[in-house]
Amino acid sequence: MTPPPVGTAAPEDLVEEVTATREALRDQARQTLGVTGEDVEAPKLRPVLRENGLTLYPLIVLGVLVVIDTFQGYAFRVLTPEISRSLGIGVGTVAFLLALQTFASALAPLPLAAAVQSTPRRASLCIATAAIWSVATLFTGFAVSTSGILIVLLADGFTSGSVAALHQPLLLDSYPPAARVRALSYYTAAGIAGTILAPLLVAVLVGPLNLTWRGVFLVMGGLCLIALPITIRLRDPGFGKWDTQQLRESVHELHGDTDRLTETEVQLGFFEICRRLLLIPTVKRLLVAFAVFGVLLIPFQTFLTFYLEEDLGLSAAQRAIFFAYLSAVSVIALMLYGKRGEQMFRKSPRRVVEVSAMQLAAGVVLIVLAIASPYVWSTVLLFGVASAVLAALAPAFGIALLSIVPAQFRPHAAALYGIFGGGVGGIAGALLLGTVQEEFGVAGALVSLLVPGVLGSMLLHSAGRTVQADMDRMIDEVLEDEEIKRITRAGGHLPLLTCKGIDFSYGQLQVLFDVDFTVDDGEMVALLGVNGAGKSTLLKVISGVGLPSAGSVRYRGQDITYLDAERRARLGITQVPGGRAVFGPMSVVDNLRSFGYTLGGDKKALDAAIDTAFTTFPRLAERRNSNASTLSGGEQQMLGLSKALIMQPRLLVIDELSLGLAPVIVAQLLELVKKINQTGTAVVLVEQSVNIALNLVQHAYFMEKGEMRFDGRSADLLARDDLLRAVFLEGADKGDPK
Amino acid sequence: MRTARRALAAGLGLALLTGCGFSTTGLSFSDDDRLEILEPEDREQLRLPVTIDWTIDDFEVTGPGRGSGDDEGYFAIFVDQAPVPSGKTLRHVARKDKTCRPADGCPDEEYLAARQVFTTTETRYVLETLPRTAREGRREFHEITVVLLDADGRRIGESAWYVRFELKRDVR
Repeated sequence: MTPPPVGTAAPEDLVEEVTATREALRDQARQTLGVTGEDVEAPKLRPVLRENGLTLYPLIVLGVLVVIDTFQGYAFRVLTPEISRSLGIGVGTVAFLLALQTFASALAPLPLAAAVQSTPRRASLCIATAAIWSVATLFTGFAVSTSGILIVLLADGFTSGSVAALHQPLLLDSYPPAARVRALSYYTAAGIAGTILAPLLVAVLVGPLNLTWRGVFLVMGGLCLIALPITIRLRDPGFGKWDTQQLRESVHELHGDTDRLTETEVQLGFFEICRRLLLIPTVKRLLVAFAVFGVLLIPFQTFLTFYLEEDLGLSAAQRAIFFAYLSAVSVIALMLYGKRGEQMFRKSPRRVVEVSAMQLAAGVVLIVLAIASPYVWSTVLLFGVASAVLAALAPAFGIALLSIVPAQFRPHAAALYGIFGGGVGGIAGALLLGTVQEEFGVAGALVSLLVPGVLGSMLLHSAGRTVQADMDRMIDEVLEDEEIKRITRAGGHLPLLTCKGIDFSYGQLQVLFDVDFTVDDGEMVALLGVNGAGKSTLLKVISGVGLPSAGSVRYRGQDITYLDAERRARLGITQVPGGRAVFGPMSVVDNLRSFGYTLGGDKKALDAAIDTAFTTFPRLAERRNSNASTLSGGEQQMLGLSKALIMQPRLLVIDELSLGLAPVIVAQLLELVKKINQTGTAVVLVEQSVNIALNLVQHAYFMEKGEMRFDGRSADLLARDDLLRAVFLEGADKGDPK
Repeated sequence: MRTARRALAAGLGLALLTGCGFSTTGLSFSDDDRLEILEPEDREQLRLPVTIDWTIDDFEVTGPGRGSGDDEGYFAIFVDQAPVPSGKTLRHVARKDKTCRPADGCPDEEYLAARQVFTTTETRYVLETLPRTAREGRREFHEITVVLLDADGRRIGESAWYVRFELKRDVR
């Protein structure tokens, strides 16, 4: 591929170059992400690490942190009766405080994800939060009242959020794709080992060592603090060191370019990132499946405890041994799964997800069989197998979810994972199992898991169908973004607005299909089509009122696909909506003031802009104090267009300017649009009236049934009877002369 | 985020400095084995009346109003509830009850018994009745907690001894 010299290439050629680069690098990018398509055994871990100059240190540190993270929470739950009796706090109050801690822990990943979204400081936050929860664990031993308990529980809950939001994204960026499934599996195994270690520690401290709950927290807090120094060398390798960053570099290597441009001018905000993630089909499916997994993980344990006590008659010590057995089986299963999972992922991420779906279904079936089993030994055995089968779900979920989102967004994805798994799944599971238990007892509650388990399995299986496409979409986004930065840096002039491959759906109804749309600086283009063609929907996507399910919107070279509408307005994109583009109950002057909100507190500038609007439209000046709803259709459109005079956009998008207006009014308004365009503002004019539009512009687009059917000179469109017939016929139906 | 972290640290620091909910004195870090509950055994299945029997060492049972140290006083028994906090009297049980006024001698023995709180100078106590804690046909568990009270009726320290048992009711 020989690209044209960037500085002299036409904008549309550069857009094509972006597409060509993306296509050329996609296969290579998949391999960079660890998907080779080969069904061969994964290389051994140590050689992979040695080859890349890596050690197990990050895995060990995060493993230690996830183990000590379990201490406070586990000890508090187990020792709740002792704490209640000792402090004279009712069990209900303690349960409420624990619920607050759970709530804090479920929400905390979100602000932590927000804290690292622009700066890779995950390692330092992991260490800082671990230090706080260690101190909180220690101080639990000195709490003497409800307020003291509340403080330590909230401190622990908020800081434990780092485990959900930061650990797995940091682990993924610390190791190359060839080692990631194993890294995630071993990390999950460490977390489970913590659930063995914490009970053992509590048992030893309260048993042979004869400590009270205070003594237990003192020792556990001390152990956490002792463990902290080993974390001190943990460093954040940067976002996407082994994947997205390498994809970006491949763009420069393809063009023999040594220039590196990594900064992003238009960064998504926290909620924009979350919203963007929730638009990814695989993420949506995985999150619902996580919620089902959360039902299994959280309330299941509680109900299983009651089942063991009431139905199997196991004592506390026997139950502890049973849970230790489940945890040990899970650890072994994870150690075995790591390499196998790596191999599956290399072959295809779809395989990982589909096998996970089968594991989830098999896991719940095994639980039901365990409960139905007439012998204790077979029940124990079947629970063990179920535990082993379900254990591998965590790393499989992790790799599937985190591989399809860019590195900067992984903490957000991990935070959502925690919220859906722990929050939604935990609460829904407690409600479900609690309700069923009332009617059918504990065993009935556990059997009822079959329903969400099978549903979750089906959802997970459906995520397998979209995971590869979503990984490719992520690859395309990264490659496209970097290529555009390269072109811009090299002096290339990209179009002002580029929409590429836009898909848009209202719920299940898709209305835009792979739409491309480009507007150059200072250009005036017409977007034509019959009612329902998708014109207004495309405008929504441009102005940010609607978000596409696929494709990208670039403005001045920057990706604004998922940017909020108000941020786009500040960047210079203004839309005058079709019909009544005014606030009816507000006066004319108040409408004008509301348009000026992007000017901030600059009252003088706003007053001057309003004066300009009144000079341009004397009729508006006469009716300045009238409610906008009392204006005629033409006056309302004038008021709507005044928005352009006040906001002085770089791109003005006008929807159906002529709708319902007399020709003489339309002519006046079009004159104004021309003047606005002559000042350098690019204009997109959406019209059903072909004559009006094509007399005004040189460049036209024609849409039909959600697809872009024409992109070219207006004169050429006039020659396309096959396209325009529909417009003329529709106009004829309405008696519109067109 | 740095600001939020600083605020959190400052809040925690301030709370700790002002002693909000924390203390370093009067805390028990190892088990207090002066009292041992002999009867019932943990998770024993019983029928009414239920007898609780215990032994006590290094504590002189003097009864209310007699003695002045932390090693003399009497016992309080709490059924299916947390005891009063350390240093509080049994008046704490009625703290939210506006009709119970100390001037009228409230809470008295009858008031406390209605709320499943009992006091004794013996090392044995018989519970003639117990409120139902589970629906008919379900297993019914109860928990008894014994604490020490000083001569003024204040709970001594944080020590509490407890036992859990299953109550079998006669089917009528």
